[in-house]
Amino acid sequence: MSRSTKSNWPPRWTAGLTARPAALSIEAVILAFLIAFLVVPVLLAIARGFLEGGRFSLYWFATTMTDRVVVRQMTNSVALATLTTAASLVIALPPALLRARCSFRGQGVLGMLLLVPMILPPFVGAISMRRLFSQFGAVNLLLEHVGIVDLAAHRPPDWLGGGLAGVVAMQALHLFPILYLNASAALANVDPAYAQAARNLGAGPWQTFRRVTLPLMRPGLFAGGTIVFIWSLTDVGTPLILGYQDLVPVTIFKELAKSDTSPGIYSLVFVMLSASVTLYVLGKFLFGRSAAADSAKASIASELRKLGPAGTLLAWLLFGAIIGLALLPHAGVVLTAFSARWVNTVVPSEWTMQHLWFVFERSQTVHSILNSLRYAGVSTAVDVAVGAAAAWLIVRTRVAGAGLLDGLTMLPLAVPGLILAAGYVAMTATGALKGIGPRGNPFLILVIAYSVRRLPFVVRGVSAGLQQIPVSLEEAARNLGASKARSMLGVTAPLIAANIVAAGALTFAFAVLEVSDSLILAQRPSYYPITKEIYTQATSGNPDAANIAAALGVLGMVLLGGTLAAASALLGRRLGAIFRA
Amino acid sequence: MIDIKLQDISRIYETPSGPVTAVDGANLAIEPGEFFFLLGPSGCGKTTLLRIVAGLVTPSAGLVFFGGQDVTELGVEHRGTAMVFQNYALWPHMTVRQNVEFGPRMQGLDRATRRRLAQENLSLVEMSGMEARKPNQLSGGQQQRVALARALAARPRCLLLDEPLSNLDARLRLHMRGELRRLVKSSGATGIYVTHDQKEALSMADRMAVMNAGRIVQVGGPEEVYNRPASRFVADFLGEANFIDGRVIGGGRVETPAATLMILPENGPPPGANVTCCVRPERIGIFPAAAAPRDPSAASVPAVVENHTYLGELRQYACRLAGTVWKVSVLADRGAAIPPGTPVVLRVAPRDVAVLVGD
Repeated sequence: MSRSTKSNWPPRWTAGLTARPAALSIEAVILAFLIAFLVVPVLLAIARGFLEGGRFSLYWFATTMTDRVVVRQMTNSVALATLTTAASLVIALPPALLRARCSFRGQGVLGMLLLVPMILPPFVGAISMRRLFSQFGAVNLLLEHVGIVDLAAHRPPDWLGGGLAGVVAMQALHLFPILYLNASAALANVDPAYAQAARNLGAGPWQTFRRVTLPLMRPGLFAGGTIVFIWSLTDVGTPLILGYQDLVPVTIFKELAKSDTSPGIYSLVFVMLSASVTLYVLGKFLFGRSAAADSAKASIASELRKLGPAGTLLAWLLFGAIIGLALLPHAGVVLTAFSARWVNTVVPSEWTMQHLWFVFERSQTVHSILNSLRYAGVSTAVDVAVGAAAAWLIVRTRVAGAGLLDGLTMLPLAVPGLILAAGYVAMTATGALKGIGPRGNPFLILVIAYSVRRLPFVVRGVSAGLQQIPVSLEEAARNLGASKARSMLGVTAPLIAANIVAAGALTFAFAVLEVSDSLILAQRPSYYPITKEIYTQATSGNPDAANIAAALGVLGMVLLGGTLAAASALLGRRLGAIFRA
Repeated sequence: MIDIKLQDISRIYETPSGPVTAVDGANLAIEPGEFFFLLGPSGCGKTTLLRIVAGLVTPSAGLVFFGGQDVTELGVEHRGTAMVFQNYALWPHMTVRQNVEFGPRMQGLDRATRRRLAQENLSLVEMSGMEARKPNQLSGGQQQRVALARALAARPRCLLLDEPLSNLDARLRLHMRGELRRLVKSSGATGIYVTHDQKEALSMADRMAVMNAGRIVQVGGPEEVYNRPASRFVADFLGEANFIDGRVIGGGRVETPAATLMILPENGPPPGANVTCCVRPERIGIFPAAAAPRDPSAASVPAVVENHTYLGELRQYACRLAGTVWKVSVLADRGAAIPPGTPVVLRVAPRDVAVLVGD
């Protein structure tokens, strides 16, 4: 509906609330929220690194950047992120290509199972990785059992490669689904006629892929790759648990936990933020601009090759191998959670429910669960309200500044949790806001941190729903005498209910298992969320503590798995749209 | 330049609601250098048949021969066909030149030759100077020309065109008909052109195959197919047609409820056969009954004008005769139309009656 018809409209039943001031005031509230809790904290953190005695100075920046330890850590971090991204790509591309080109029995189920690795923060899986892959871990014991490795004769292989290989493996196995979803989407958007035209003009399958299909899907791959890269570059939990700590994020994490954070750390925060924002912008606007999207939509349906029994078996083997590998950490966590005795055996020799019961007996662990549910619940409510309103403004209105709103609601994707946490530390660790800071009661900043970070998912999920509903449905209701509010509640809301519920479920689940903000912003045990409690247990050195951490991890997995399953049941194939770059 | 033969080609698609036969026992022999059209309504299997020739679709049964050689199992990239896709399928990440050079590049030709072939074919379609553009910087008509240049630059044995004009506006489409035919014929390649537009087929084709529901229902030159349709479907699909059922009574005559029509004896079925006579609206003369000149060489069918429609260059009458309504088209002169309700005589010459048997 154009604005001119609106102004001509007899105001008989639209008296009171007119659309534009309402939209503008909602927009102002959302923008204020994002500026206060995203832009300001991050700017504060950056400013800390450039202030000396209240004046602008490059002293801390220069000191930090010339520190040989920092340079080494930066090199390590970039190497880690590069390796993780490459490994994710190698894992994600074959199944994505297979599903785009062939049809086979069970492809739907296998495609869904491929997303399961996302339901566990890799640092929880890392707890069990040490059990499985260390020199006297389950894998070597199993290999000895079948006679490949001799543990007694010489030094058994160290699979974790001094930590780096382990971190890369854990991150890649957790993150490859993001690239898989992006690659699948990119492939689906490439008109099959492009590949057919190449074949028709004499190109073989490989040349067609290299010269036509790959260049056309590269924007999607690049955008997905930047998400994985930024994630890996700023991940704290996995390196901490696996003992590969010579990294920038680990240094930032350790320094932020101190009461007197060195300003030099904020210089590092600035560098990390610049790197991730640059990558995000490159991915989204420069390389992310899809050439294929400019041209006409697919002219013909792609003809999927139907696999015979042998091909189907091979496809199952490929998917099965990836899923099996990716779920190994999860399996390890489950085994750890239920093992009573697991020494020098492939799987535990005795089982117990004791760790799980213990989780519910100790007040500290029970508190952490309740804290997490509280934080996640409130942040989800905030996200759904803010996100749905923002989506409506962006998709349905031409309110001034909608572009800014769109950009700001997506900005959290470019601001890693570690950086945001640093911002909140800078804002609340000292001074007037100390009471709600990490050493006070961090309820508010944790809730807001969770909300801000997951906001893009809600905005995207709801926007995807809104875009699928023709405006004419609302117009028909208005035409028949319904007020604006009435047509929204009576027509639009029921149609996007599934999107809102699913986005909410995802937000809740990811908030429960959020890592970096949780580790940094909760410093007093009584306010620990689950992830901080898992981390504390896992690093306590107490022999039983790893089992309790794993038992907590199992609870987290059940929670996250359940909500994800519910979300995918509601959204079906549209679920993927939320994770796409 | 090769001849193309299709032998008993069928293609069955498995769908959730059961198998669907897209092409059903198609047989065709296309001459070397011929510009051959596959014409039919959407869903008749013409595009599937074209894709089978290209090798993009594998037939469920039957054989494809290029120049006497069985190519049914030959991979798409080894067929030496070049296709102009309906949406052109110009690669959006390549420039016009890169698009056009793709075929020569795949043939392993050196850079200079590739460049020359691209240049030649782009100038052939009057797109010189656009080499550095990306496809999305071109209009629909320009994209169409580049797609044609890309196909021609591969110097194919057989050029395949899948409704190449369907995305252009009406005026440009008309203009491109003649030009496209000229380019294809001068390239020397055997051409196969798929369309649902009968005007395109009639004006451009050397010969055509009319398809319906997966089957080839008639093969012939444009005038032959138009004037002697093999079935009611063909007659209806290619322009407008009037029908009336009757029985052959010998001596080149068919008795119908409206009148006795005269037909050419040489294509008449034996006396006693039940037939349908088909007459094109523009082949019928119309005269007010009171002023009709005598003409013993043509049949006179009494009718009454029901209404008339002014179509610019033509005026079309709807005339009621015993059992049916016929359309009659005449050049619209400045004279007044015959008013509705006027009894008229419709004149039908023997050579303008197509006789359809068992339809």
